[in-house]
Amino acid sequence: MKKLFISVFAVIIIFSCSKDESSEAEVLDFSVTSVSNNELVVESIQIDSEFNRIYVLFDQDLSEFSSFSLTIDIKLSQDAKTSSLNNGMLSFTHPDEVKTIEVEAEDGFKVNWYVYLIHHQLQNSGFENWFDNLGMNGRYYKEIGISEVTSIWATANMGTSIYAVYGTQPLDDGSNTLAEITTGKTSHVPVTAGTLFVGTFNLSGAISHPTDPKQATDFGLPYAFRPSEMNVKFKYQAGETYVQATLNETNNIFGGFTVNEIEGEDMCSIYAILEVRNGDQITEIGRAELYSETTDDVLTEITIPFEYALAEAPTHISVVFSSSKDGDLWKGAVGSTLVVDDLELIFE
Amino acid sequence: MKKILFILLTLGCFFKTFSQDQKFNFYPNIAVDLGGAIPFPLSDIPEGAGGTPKPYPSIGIGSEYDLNEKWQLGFEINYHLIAFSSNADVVSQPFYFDDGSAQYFTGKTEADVELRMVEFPLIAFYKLKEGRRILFGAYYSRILEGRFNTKGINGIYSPDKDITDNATLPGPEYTIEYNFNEFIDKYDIGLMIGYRYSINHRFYLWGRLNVGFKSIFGKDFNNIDYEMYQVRLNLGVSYLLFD
Repeated sequence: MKKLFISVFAVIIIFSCSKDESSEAEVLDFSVTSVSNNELVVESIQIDSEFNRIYVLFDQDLSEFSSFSLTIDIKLSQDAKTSSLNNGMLSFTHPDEVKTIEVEAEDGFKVNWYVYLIHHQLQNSGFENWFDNLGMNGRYYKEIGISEVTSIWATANMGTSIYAVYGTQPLDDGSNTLAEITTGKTSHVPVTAGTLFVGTFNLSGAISHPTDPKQATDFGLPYAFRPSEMNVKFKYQAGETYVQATLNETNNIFGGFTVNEIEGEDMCSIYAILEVRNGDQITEIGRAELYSETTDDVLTEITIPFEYALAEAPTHISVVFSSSKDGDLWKGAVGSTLVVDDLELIFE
Repeated sequence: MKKILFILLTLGCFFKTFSQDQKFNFYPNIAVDLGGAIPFPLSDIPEGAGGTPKPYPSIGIGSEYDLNEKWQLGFEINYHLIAFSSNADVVSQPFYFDDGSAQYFTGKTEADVELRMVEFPLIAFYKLKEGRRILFGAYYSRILEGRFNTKGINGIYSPDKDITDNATLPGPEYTIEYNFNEFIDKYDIGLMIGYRYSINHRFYLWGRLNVGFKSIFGKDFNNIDYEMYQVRLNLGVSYLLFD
């Protein structure tokens, strides 16, 4: 009896002393100790723990640089490890490249973190790269970027993929690829403005709040610079019938819409906003914007100046193209088409 | 504070006065609810579906009146919180629009249901033998707050049923969430049956099965093709205030 008691007691002691292994695979700190090319100077680093993204910011244009490496000092969650760094280095062959760091927690749970290079120009601003993405209807469609997790650009294609409607698609022009953004409709929504923006498409927001299109877009990317102008090539053709759709029951997408034809012509929007974000507090410091009716059927380069209200450096940039400027209010013309190419941010 | 004391004293006098004729008595209840809402018809429950009721305590007060040797009549006011989660793999589950069109979903689904309510049951107790009674009754519940959240996980979503009927899973890695909170009705009515055992002359131990007779959704809600009815097991004790 005494032996049994001692055995049970020992087992209890052993179990009470055992410790659960941690499943944390966080990047707690990340710094660049050196860059292989002396001309490149790291301005700052931002870690986004929500989306597992690390942004390395350079206050210069990296477009002409290739094949450089960063020596990294990385601090992970306790007992987590990574084997993604080669002698502590990350090597890039192009500034648009996004590197993946796989962090393995103490208990073996693995999490991918993505390292982005942020510089004066935005990744894939020529809109050359598109990939095949699996839509909600189980069919593949073209989405902007190299892959879903590495693209800084987003569209609403995933949301409308339920209906096999894709508002933003690549447009091949021989050796060049442009972005074609079109206002469409689905069997349940009479106006779906095409959009292309810097940020992420929030599918959960789109589905959970189908009566509020703004909930579907998370605009913005870390960015610390003050461009003077924005150059872009574009052309626009407004759709024939300009309409305002109104929900029959507020906050209930199942109730359908009433569609009324309205005066005027649909317009596209092209704008960039620079902001300082501090937690939930967002302060706009400058913007460049253009709203256009139908243009000539020729791609035209335009320069849009940034108007600054504050002298601070921004923390984020949002760039938005939409084929119907009031599309988020269910206002637009089906068939309105905006074509854009070669976005460039100008620094004087 | 004075007001509360006054109300308690008044209630105490009221209870005491009524109980003096030996036919009335009053009791507080404390119980545990297990249950939630289930689809009806039951054939709409997908094969392999699972559900987990979340137990929550309920409290209330009640009175009983002796009609004769065999029969008692009871009336109660009870506060309940019932919660339930479920999961199922569905094929072409429809969501209807008011114009009659539909979207279909094939994939994994999860649902979380929670209802807070005040229930007013009218109960008849029939004596089987000393200390043992069966009970049956009807109730009206006022729903104070309702939550009905659904998730579709890694599935295929389309207005074309052929696509969802023939979907290859898993679909894209996403979770779509939609809540039907605003469609939950403000009341429920239903029936209950149960059994009551007297531990001694003041303590009752009882179990009840409550079944709702109307959908937890309002009658204008026709966006899914099945109804959801409250079904719950209520296990509790009562303490008679007066001998």
